Amino acid sequence: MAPFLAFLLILLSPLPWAQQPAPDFPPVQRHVLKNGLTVLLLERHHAPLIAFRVYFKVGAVEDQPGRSGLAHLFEHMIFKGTRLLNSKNYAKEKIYLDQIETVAQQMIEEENKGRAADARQIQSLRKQLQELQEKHSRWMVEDEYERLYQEHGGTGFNAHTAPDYTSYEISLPSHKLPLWMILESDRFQNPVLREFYKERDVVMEERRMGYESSPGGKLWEVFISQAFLAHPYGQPGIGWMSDLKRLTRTDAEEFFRKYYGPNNATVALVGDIQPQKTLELFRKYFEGIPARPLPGRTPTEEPPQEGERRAMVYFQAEPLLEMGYHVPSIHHPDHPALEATAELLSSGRTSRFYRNLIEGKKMASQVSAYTQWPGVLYPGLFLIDAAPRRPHAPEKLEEAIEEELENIQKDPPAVWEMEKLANQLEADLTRRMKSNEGMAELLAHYQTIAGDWRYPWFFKEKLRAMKPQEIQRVAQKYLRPENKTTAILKRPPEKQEGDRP
Amino acid sequence: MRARRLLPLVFWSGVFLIGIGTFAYALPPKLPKFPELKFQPPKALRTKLSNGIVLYLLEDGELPLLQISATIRAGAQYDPPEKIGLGELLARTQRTGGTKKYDAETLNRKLESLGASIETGMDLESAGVSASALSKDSDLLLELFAQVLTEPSFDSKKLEIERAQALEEVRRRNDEPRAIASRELPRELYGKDHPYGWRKESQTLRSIRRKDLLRYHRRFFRPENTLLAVSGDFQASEMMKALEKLLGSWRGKGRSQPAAVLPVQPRAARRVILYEKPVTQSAIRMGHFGLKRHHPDHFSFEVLNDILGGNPFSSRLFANIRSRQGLAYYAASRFTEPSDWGTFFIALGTKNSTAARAIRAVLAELEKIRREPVSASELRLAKESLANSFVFNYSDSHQITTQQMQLEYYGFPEDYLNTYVPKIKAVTRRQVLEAAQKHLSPEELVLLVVTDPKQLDASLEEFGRVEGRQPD
Repeated sequence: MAPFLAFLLILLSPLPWAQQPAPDFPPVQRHVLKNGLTVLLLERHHAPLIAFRVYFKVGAVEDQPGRSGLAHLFEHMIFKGTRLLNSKNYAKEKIYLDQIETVAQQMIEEENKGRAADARQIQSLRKQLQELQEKHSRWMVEDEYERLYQEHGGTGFNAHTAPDYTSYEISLPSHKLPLWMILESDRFQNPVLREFYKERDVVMEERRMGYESSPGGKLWEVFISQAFLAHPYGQPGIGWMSDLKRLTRTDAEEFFRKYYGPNNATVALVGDIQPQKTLELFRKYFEGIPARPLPGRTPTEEPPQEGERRAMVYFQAEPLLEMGYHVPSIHHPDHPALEATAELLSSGRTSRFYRNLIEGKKMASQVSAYTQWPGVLYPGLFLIDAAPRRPHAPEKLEEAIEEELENIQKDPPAVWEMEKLANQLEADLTRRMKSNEGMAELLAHYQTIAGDWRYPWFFKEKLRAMKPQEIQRVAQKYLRPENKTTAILKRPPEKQEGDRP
Repeated sequence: MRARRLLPLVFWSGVFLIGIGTFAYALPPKLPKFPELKFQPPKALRTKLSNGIVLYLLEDGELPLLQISATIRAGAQYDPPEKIGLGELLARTQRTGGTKKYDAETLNRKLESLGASIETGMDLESAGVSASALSKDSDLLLELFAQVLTEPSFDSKKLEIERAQALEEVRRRNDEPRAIASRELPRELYGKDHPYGWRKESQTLRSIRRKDLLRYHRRFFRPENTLLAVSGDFQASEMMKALEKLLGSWRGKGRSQPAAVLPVQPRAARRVILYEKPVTQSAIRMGHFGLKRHHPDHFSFEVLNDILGGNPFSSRLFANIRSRQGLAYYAASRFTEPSDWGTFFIALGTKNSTAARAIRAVLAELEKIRREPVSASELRLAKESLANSFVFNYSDSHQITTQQMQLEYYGFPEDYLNTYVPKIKAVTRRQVLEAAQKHLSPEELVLLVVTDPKQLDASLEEFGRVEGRQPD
């Protein structure tokens, strides 16, 4: 259950609705149930397997200040069973669950007093909590939900929380389709967030692993905090440690009630299915889940950037570099060209960055460009991340990268480069269709963030028709120094260089 | 593929009976009987080119694609000790250095302008070349693939770039605590001088010359050492003709020289290796020698490992250390089976102040699984899980084709895939216990911990003699 979904880069390719001729869409069926659940079905009978993806249009962007990490922690919690699953007796369990919640909240309240907190009181509450957890555990079944899927041959069982959405994933042998229907309709209707305070500890370990002990994670956190003054894209989805310590099961339950309605979800099934029968199963198991009023998504807007921002992180690791330029959201007409710009810069061995920075100037060991991080639904960043190659300092690599951007601003890309991008996307989309998992992810992803699963195919047509001057224009418009945030990770000054190889 | 009918779906019945009838909720949700899975996976055709290249072919017209994978009897294990990294540099430069006919820029442009790709790689026991394109571009892809395989130019400028990239990787290799832990455990077990344990170093990389690459390529990249797997939108007879035309006249130069690797001495004694690093989470690895490929205990050990820590969400280690105690995000056991003795190891990450507690929990699980037979329901879960997910080995036509090629390469019997599920299903509780007693030995564990020792909850001396190391 990793925190963020690192998508195939070329597929994070937003574009506004194009007036292109209808492209060669795969034969996907789209249905909307009466309660608003969107169902996407694609038949492929090469093997008796089905890939499942459930996407909810809720993510770390919904985390309120002081409650960072809640969307992701909730994602973990919905693996903890229902009233029927992971339980020996829910009525018995509930008695302890309520007591655990009361004591945990008292403990958090006491801890929140900071220096005025009563250490003995905290100690005693912690002991109470442990005793209650122990008593509760006698009435539950550990990891039963997971075990059921394992037993029936499930693979690729996982979930991800992105800023814009949350996804749930599994693949099963196709004759187990009813199992998925039963388990998932129960799970997204009646989850019981048992073992909350233990799972919160697990997420803290995830944070220590991915963000505190890892140079890339550490730099990322500082970088996005710097790039966004106001919009929640600047908040780490994993959550700040002090926020995690204050999250309660009550918070997570409220989060579920608020956002996890069927009318906020898209489900994609790809593989060995019979669409009509599958749809009947959806009606039987899912249509009865009531729709609920959804709060609008109105996060604080990011004001325009009016000057370069820089940040520095000291860490015992070789240097790393992040650069980001604010760009508009997925719905803006400039998006296809920005996506093409990122591909032109860093996709493959004929890309500008590879030819000029890794091979030509030999300054980078790695350098990539992406559009729309951390998300795509709101104005995000045109992102460049890079690792300099010794002896080159990250600042020197930064200059060389900017030179590449200036080159695009000066001259539009060559015709062969434009053709290459379109052909690459064409081949990548075809390859993607070879995998049930890849397709299910693609369909659910674009249905969720763009409102239409056909998005990549429209983008393909758009790319075919794109003029090189379009790339030059968006580079001039967005990739400007005053619109840039840079963050650099280096060793602390006194220990730099040293006796390393 | 055969799959057996599932048992009636009352799980862990003893557990569930407690809830039924007495209370408001019927546990667990009622599941239907699932029909039997009937599936005859496609099989790739095995044939040979006139020069001995083994060829697996599978027609798949679903999508307009062509995919090719070659496995070559080479491997990083054959690097000369003073030139560790030679195999890796060869594989990298084989692709990036261009071919005798096309220089690197031309090769890159030809491939990428069509959205096609060719990649090369080298692991411990094999080298690989893989290629993919839309089937309309098959002719060009085949031509370029054959050139990269048989006539790479190893351009010296590109070699310098790949060397510099590899040197940078050496510089960056201690940036992540988990990377240190994963890399250094085998090094502790096999020693710095055995290919299973060694690592590339700045000086070994610097000593590699272009002529070493040419010599290595000549020695290992030969038709009799090469297997091909080809799948996609083509007709097998035509594909065979095309490959024969492109590769059939390829001959090895000189006589084929077999390569050998020093035998592993599978002995270890309990000790603790400590790497100090200012981190908030300790990266912990605990391992010893395990099985080798084709070991007769493979199936019982696979079931054992699944129960102990292999199953991603329902192993004992996961349940105890993650779900029950909330100590770790990852806690799992793994085993490797190379041609000589492999390793069994446990990997976990926990905050420094619970590192000793987590290690104790792992040791207790190891003792327990060596002392008591696993429960019938645990055994059933592991066997069902391994058997029922087996069909995912046939997810995709290229996977099917390369799998057949790999099984031949590694000397598995022809009926391996057909007998896998029955062999898993035949494993008994007694065999799992015997496998645990025979192959798990806590007293031989090497514990490797990357941590900030000032924050530990107890001295690591508790677990054995501690040897300090500096990440280098």
